[in-house]
Amino acid sequence: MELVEYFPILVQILLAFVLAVVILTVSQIFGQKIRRSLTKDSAYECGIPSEGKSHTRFSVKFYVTAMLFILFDIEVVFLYPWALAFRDFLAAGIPILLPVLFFIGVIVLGLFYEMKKGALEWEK
Amino acid sequence: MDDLQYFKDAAASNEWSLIWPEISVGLLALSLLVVEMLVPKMKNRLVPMIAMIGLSVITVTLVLSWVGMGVSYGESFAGLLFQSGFGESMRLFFLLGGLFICFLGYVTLQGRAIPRVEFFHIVLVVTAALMLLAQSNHFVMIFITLETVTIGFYILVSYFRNQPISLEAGLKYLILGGLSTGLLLFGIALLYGAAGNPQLAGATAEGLNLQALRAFLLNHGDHTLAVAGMLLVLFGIAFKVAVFPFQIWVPDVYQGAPTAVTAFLGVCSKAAGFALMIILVTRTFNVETMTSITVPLLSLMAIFSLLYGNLTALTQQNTKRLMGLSGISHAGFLLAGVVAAVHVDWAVWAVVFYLFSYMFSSFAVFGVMAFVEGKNPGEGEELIDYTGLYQRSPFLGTVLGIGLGSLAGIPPLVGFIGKALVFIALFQAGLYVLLLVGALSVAISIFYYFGWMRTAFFGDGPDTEKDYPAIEVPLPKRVPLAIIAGITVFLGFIQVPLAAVLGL
Repeated sequence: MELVEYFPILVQILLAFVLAVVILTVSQIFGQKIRRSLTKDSAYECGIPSEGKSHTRFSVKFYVTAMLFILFDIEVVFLYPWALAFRDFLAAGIPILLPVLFFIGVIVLGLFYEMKKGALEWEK
Repeated sequence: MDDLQYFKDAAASNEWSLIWPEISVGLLALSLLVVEMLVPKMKNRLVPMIAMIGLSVITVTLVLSWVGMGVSYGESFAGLLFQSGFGESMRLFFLLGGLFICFLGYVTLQGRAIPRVEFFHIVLVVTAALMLLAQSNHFVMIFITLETVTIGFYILVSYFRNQPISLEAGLKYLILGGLSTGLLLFGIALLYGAAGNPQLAGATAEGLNLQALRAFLLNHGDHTLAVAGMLLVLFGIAFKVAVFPFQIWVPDVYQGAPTAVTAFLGVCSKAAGFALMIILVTRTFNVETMTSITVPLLSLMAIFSLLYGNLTALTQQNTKRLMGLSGISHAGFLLAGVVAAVHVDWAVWAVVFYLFSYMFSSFAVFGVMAFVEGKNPGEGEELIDYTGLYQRSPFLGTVLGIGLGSLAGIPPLVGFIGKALVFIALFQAGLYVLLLVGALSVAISIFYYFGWMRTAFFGDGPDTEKDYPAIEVPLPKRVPLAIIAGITVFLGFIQVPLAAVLGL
């Protein structure tokens, strides 16, 4: 591709930049002027003074569950295209069963490991 | 069905038997978790033993297989891997490295309320990835193995999660590691994009394959995108090996990481970067239009690394930081060797020999550090803590003396031979400025290495009033240290075994 063909992208970048500048300037010029004060600048929480920390801590159990979910999710994602290609590959004599069995075996081993480690016991 | 034919060819080139050492190391890593699962009560004794014995068996079998069947050459796994003598010797390097790190981890973790099993598991996984990295022939392979290694190191560096200094080191390594990965990826993308440009003659869709990329670069080595990509890739790797100006993370990360991890980072991670440098600089980017850029650039980086590492190490009082900073100067030596390897073919082996010599000598020093340091953060890490080490433990003092002497390059230890080989390679390549700076930096390095030795042997530190207790090292833990020190001395006299391994 010649450099010229990237010209629309340059136009788009410029457009985004110009639009941002225009909106900010226009609202500055035509917008309502208000006097600033500490109360007005503070965060608005339904009219009630905010309480507690903004970053609350979650139990690590949530993260463990989420990670395990992603792990098995990925396994399923891998298995779908595998199932689609299975018949063609077998017909062509390409080994496809044993590799995926090894893959599932490792994941199942991981499942047993998690159960033994108590990662799946919520009350613990 | 052309697609099926492609998959069929790819499947046929999957020669699993070629990567049995990596598979074995990976299965060993899994088996550690199984052992922990089945016998949780004995895990603290059993797991390090299994890891060390398993790695030893794999190492011995690998060497025996070379003797029995010879070394295989050529591409496999549809061009992802390239077996060569270089890859085989780096395999042995990383196996030995992983083995000694397991021992160091066993020593460092003893008596701490920190989980053990995961440490050995991650070390083994990283070792397997390092071994694959040294044989890779494809940017996808390079990136995946390098990321496996780096993510493992993120965890290992912050392994003492109850110590803020370890967490700080982990965070710094994570941020700068992420930056270097970004550089590397961007470079790969640019190279792939340049090689896949259909308007250029000889464009290839296989731009990630190093051989295909080289064939493209032969014609278009001066293409702006390709040159920018090559530079970004080299800079990304320069972060990992910590050469100037990408060395700024080294002292903090080395100081904060557990000693075993510092050794792992300083030796194996550095070696991985240089394995990549050799694969890329001397096998892929070695087209004339590119070497006219890489040789002056890398020479300059090597010169500054040599000077920076040695000059900053001169006044350093913390031993871990000192090893890190002196490691930068060693990286300078290795980079000089890589530059020489562009012109002189056998210089690749000089670099590999230097890596082996650096591994044995630094492991001797790190091994002693693991015994001298205390259980609290920063305890026993200062140079003063080594006051009269020889009187407190003659064994540790001797090992430290051998290791430091070899790092400084004192004949007849192995470090001297390693430096001599690099110097000869530089001379043959006609890089006289590098040669001169290298010789100068050896002279500087003698100051701080010998200062450390003087503290350990004659004990005239500034704080002689303080009482330094004797250090007892039980016999089983002496054996690995003695072996490492023995190899350091032995290889200084007779290089035939290592030369035979390297196929010289």
